[in-house]
Amino acid sequence: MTPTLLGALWRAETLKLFSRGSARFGLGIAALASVAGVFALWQLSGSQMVVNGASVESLLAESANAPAALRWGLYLRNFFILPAFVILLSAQSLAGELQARTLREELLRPVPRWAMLVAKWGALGAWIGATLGVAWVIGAVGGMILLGTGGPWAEVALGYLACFCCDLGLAAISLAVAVLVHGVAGTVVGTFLFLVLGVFLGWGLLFLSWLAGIDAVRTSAGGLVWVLDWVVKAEPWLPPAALRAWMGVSPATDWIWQSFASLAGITSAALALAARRLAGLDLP
Amino acid sequence: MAGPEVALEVRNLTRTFGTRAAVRALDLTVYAGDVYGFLGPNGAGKTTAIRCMLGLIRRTEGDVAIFGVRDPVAARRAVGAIVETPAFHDWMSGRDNLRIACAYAGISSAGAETEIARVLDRVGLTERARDRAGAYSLGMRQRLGIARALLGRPRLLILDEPTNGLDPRGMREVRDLVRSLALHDQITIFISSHLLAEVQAICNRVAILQEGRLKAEGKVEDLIASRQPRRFVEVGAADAAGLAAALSAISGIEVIGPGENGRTRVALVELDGAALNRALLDRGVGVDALVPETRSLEDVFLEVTT
Repeated sequence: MTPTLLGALWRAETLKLFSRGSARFGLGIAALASVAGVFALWQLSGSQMVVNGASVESLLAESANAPAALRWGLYLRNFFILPAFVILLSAQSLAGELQARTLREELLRPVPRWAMLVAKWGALGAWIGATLGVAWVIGAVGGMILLGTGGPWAEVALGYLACFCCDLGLAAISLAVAVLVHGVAGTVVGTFLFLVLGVFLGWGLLFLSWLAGIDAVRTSAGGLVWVLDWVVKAEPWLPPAALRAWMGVSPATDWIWQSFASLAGITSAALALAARRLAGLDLP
Repeated sequence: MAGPEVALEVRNLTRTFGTRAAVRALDLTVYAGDVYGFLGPNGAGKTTAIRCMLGLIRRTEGDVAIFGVRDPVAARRAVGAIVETPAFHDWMSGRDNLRIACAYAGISSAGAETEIARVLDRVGLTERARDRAGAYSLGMRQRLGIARALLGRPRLLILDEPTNGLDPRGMREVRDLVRSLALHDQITIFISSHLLAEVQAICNRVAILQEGRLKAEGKVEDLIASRQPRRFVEVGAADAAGLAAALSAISGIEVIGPGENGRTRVALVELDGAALNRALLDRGVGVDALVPETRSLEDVFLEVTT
């Protein structure tokens, strides 16, 4: 398998992915979310609405600028809809093709299965990049026209880059689920269940951290109190936290390096699992 | 002196699903230039065997080599294949489907358009190449499948039931195409089919599979000859009573019974057809029909699989 052939597979998978109606619809939604982000910030920055005794206009006076509009667009983009598209497209591109038997047709050629998987993941990366690129261009142009050019451009750009990495991780997880369950609906449900499980685990850790703050509990834990402290620190490593690593773009949140490290680990593990399962799969 | 080049060599191929063996210790040899028919009743294990040969499913046991290459991925360089009904990305055009297949076949983007034009022309789909594959008729999908299999000029074409579901015109088109590919493009063809007349018309060698086991293999004419120890003719004459009396008096034949259209079915034990005709004329019987009865691959197939 040469890099040239891998590049050709990636181009072919990208052509295929972008020709899907669902991928085009997702691109439209991404553009719409960006427009909505700019428009919402522009409207609120001139609003006389009062919150906690202060007008919204005065609250946003410092932060109503193009990068902030891009940030708002990113929040909207990542509020359920675009991640759902990432999961759906991952499911369609692997489980859907397995069901439709087109995966078999392509694997009748002299291509290792892992290379097909990497090409599909790369194509999903191209689509994710396109949604972010479209959102960036619309948000930046609209924001500069309506709100001015100042603001933390570099930090927001980093947020978009982090979001790209997070969505790539989500795509890898979805591909792994797709290889395990072999169906589009099953992949979507399975990936959501995986993420929900992670959220519940996070809540469990939150509960433990609350317990760890109670003196009586610490006393009764005795020599095991270090376990409690250690487990509490695991939260940033959980999948939901890793897939939220882009949230560091928010002025109220720090960039959490553990989440990025976890994201890299989860992405690699998901791809390795998917490649291993795909290699041993009997194709119908 | 080296023998003919072996295109496909299958040794002890076995695939089990749980306790059920779909293919059992299958041995096949297909030589370069063969048009090889792979026959068997429904559920005989043909498609499973083909999938194993192509590396689509795992083998429980056995070995497959394509032009001497045993690694399934590398071996597929020399192969084009259709397994059952070809599947396409239905929302894309026929041409775009072939573009994707070109990438998987390792054909450079520079050479892809020329290659696509060649295979579309070969299967007669150039005019409809821009249409969505989902809008193609079954026959067109089959031809597009063959076009896709021909990308990259494979040396071995494996076709699993390529005429399945086609109308008589579609079947003839596919049959003519397969024959032309073998004759003009010198492609070795391995074809599985239920249509025994089709197979007999285009194949030089066949294998018959039943319940996953190889029941017979060889040249078509040898298989037919080996299972036809006696030859039969049907004899007709205007004077039926005279014919019956003459036949009973001639030695070296055996009257079997009534044949078609009022003729009498006769087994040639020691005489041949010409001698029988002469013997009847000598006895004053005016023969108006002497029809040799030929056996077909279908007869062999039915004998082997029952």
